[in-house]
Amino acid sequence: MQLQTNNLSYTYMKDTPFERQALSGLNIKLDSGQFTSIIGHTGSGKSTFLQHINGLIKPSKGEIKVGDWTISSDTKQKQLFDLRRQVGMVFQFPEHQLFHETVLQDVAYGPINFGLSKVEAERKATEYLELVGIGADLFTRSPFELSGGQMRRVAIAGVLAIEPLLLVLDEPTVGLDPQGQAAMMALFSEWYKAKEKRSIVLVTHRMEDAAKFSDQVIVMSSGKVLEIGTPEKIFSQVEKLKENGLSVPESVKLLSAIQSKSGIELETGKFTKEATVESILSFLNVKGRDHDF
Amino acid sequence: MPNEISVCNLSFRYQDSTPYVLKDISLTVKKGEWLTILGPNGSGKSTLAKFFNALLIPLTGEVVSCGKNTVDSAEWSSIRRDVSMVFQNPDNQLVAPTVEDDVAFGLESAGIPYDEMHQRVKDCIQRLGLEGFEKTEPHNLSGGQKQRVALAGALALKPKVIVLDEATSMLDPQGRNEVLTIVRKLNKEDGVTIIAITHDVNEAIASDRVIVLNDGSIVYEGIPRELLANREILRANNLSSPFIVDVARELRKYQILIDENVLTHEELVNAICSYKRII
Repeated sequence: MQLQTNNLSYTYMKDTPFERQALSGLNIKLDSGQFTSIIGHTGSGKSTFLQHINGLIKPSKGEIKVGDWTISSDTKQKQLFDLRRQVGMVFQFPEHQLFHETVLQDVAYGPINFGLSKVEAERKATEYLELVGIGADLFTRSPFELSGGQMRRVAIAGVLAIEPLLLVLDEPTVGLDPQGQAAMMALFSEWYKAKEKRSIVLVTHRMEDAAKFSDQVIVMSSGKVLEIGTPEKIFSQVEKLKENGLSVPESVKLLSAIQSKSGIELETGKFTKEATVESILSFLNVKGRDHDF
Repeated sequence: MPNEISVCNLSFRYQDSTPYVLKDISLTVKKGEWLTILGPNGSGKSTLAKFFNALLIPLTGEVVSCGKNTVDSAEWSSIRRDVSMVFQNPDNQLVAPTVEDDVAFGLESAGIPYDEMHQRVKDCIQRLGLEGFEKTEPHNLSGGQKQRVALAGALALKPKVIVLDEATSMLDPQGRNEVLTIVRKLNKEDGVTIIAITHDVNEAIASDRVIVLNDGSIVYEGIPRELLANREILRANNLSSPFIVDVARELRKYQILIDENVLTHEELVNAICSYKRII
């Protein structure tokens, strides 16, 4: 799904003493089928922007176009019903939104709401519960009896079951242990790659994930776009990111530090362990793979 | 050093019909120590933390905090003043309309006289670098600032122990550094005992000792450097081995001599650059 903002501005509590401008004149364009990450320190406007994508809040000024929909300050809620079947939102701690008596009913709730029959909805629910790794033995359990990681998977299955084209993720791995985090990101990546038209917008503080999964990275600061580009381009600007309270992936941090200490240039735009090692080996003039005989 | 907290043969389950969350835990934390508790989701870390300040009371086993047995309900308020907790979500623990009111909140509840309260609030705000934010509404602060307000509120009660339950996990990289810098200062300069629960092995590097919990039992205890170099233990407990340790290990496969002790960016950069000079 294509997404575009034209001079999008948003002000919280307008015309009160607490008025605060969260977004000012945002111009962003995301092509269909892309994986985009948004980084920026707390209060930079990331979450406010996300809430515009399916019309949870509407622009104070300007507009946002999502697929065939255009949302501006006078857009009516009922015009957005169909948009919300196409945009799946996963908020922080999505497990807090579980409410139904059983796991299966909870996941089937969205599809039923969007007009599927109970049988069809449960078929969809089963399909997506399997995708997120929740076994049939848990389907009849109360979602509140599950572990935190399982609850989060159920909540995500509920979003995927409405079969959105665009998935919006706000820090989806917060609070999970490292293996849980990796598994969750792999799940999203797999979902994204399974169909060409699917897009993802991810808000994250984890620079490793932004570097590893994205086609493009948007850096936000004070309600504006500071920088937009490929992970290689964005994460080559170590100092600029630091000034904005952000960091770079550990690989870039290491390679940049070697570069500044030795005064010798080396390739810093590497995000995997293997690529980092290769870059260091060539810095040391040690041959890579064939050194192993 | 005397023990600030001692846990003896503690077992716990939330209901009679559910499995044990903690299984025969014995553990001591020394005065002035910085202890890191690592472990996967569901290992019992947060449950254990709630026993330190009598939010949970043992039915099996015993917990003594700052010399007081937590089973004695007459000691609860005093224990909770000695052992402060800072939780994961900064939005869930600030209650007052301004920063200084929030820092004063615990003092007021504890019945501290007005003049002393005033002084302590001022001191703690200064200690945590929050000057200029006294009249700010907490929701206008960044995550790191909010957690520092929570820490200031905890510190104002002059606790002997501060327990951090994943207190940095929701913060951006800068907020995380802010909080860790303050925690180090409170530990080293003010002698506050720190118990930090986390998933992030890198946060353990600065601490004195680390334990790993898994499935309700302590499966490892030692110094952070040894744990971080131990890939098997890390992997078995859903913890990731630090990036620097992994890169150093790979480089050794190419006969590049890098000390086994290398754990931080700075150490690895130095090792690589001095190797470069030799060859």
